[in-house]
Amino acid sequence: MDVHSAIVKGPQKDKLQDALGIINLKHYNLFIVADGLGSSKNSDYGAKKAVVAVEKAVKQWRKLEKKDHRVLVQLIHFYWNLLINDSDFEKKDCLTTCLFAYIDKTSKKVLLGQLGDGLLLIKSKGVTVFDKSTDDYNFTKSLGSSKSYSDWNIKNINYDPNDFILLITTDGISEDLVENKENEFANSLIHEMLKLNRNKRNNYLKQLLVNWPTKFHTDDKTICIAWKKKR
Amino acid sequence: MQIECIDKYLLCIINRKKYHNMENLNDLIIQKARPLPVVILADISGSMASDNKIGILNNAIREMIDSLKDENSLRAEIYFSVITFGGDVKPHINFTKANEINWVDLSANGRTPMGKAFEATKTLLEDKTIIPSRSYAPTLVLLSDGIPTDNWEDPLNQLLSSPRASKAFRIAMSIGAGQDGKIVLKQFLGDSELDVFEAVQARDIKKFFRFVTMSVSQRAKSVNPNQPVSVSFDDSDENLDNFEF
Repeated sequence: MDVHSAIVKGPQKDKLQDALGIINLKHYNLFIVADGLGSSKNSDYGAKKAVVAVEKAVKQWRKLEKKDHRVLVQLIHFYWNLLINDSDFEKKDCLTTCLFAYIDKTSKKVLLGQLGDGLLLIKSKGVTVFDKSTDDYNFTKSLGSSKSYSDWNIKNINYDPNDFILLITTDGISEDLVENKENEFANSLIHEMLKLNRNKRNNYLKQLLVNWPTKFHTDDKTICIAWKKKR
Repeated sequence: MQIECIDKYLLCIINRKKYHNMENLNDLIIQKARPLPVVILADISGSMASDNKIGILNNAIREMIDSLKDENSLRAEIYFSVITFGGDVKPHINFTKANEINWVDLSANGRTPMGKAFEATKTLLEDKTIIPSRSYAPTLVLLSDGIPTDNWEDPLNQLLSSPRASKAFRIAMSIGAGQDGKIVLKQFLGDSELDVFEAVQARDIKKFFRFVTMSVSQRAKSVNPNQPVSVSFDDSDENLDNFEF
C-alpha cells in the first residue's frame, strides 16, 4: 500500500491547529485527521489528543466481541474527554473535528468515521463512497461540543485490499475542491505522484498545500492519501 | 557566493516546473476566494424622504462600498446584497462583488413591508447556488425609521431560526423609529452583544455605516473571518468628517 501525507499551517496563522495520525499494524491501518477549531484557543492541543483518543479507542474496541460502532464512538469521546480533563485546558477551548478511516486487513472492511467538516473518500470495487461534511459557514460539529452519536457519519464498507483509493482531508482542502469532483481530485493526485519517486511524494503534497491555488486561503491543511492498484 | 545564488535560482526553476505541472489538478480546485456576504435590509418607505434621510443613506452606503472596494489587504472577497422595502420588496443589488458595484441611488416611497423583506432575506441566505456553503458567515444589516406595516413577527422568527441567518452577524440602526420600531430591531438582533444603534442626526447614519465598514473590513482581514471582531460604535466616531480610511 502506498501511503502519503502532508500537513501545513495556514498562511499567517500563529500555530498549526490540524493534527494527523497514521498507524500501520499487522492487522489494521488507521488514518486520523483532526482540525482544531480556529475559534477555540487550545484547539491545537484538542486536535493532537483526538488523534491519540482514536488510536486508544480502536485498540480497546478491537478487543470487544461485538465491535459495535456506537461503542467505538463512545470510546473516542471517553478517551478524548479523559485526555483533556487531565490537562490544564478546558474542553470548550479544545474543540476539534475528528475524521478517521480504520482498515481491517482481516475482514477486508473499512470503517469511516467523521465528526465535523472535512472529506473522507474511499474508492474500491468500482464504487466511490465519500462523506464531505460542510456545515454552513464553517460552524462545524466537534469533539467537545457534540453530545450525540447522530452527529457522526459512520460508514462500514467492504473493500478490495488490492485495488482501492482512500483520501482524507481537513476542510482547508475539501471546501476548496470543485463539488462532485473529489474522486477526480484523488485520481489526479495519484497520477501526479506516480511520476515521482516514493521518497519525493510527501514533499510534492506539501508543496501542493503550501502553493494552494485558492485566493486568500487561510486554513491549515492536512491531506492523507493511501492506495493500492492492481498491476 | 555567486555560485550558491545560481544554484538556488536553478533549484527554484526546477521546483517551479515540477510543482506547477498540475493543470489538471488545479482545474479541480476552486481558485476564487471564499465570499464574505453583507446583506443590507434598507427601509426606503416614504418617511425616509423627510429630512433627506434617504440622500444621507445613499451617500453612506456608497462610501461604505467604495472604501471596501479599495481595501487591498483583505483575505476574503466581500459581496453585497441590498434588499429594499418601501411600498414593495426589491433586490436593489443582487449578490455582487464589492468592486463590481456601481451604486445607483435609492428613492423613498410607500409603506414599510419589513416582514416581506425578512422573507426575501431568508430565501436569499438559504439559496446555496447564490451563497455557497464555503462562504464566511454573512453580516446582516437592518435599518428602519418606523414600524413595519405588514405581518413581521412570523417572518422574523422564521428568518432567525433558519440555520444560516442564525449564524449571521446582525447589526441594526433605528433612524428615529420610535419605541415600537426599536422593539422590532431589537428582536432582529436577538442575543447579539450589540444594541440597536440610534441615529438622531445625519452624521449618525454616517457613523453607523462607518462602524459596519470597520466591522466587515476587520473580519475580512482576519485569519479567521468567522470570529466576531472587537469594534464598538464609539470606534467609528473618530475622524467622522474624514470618512475614508
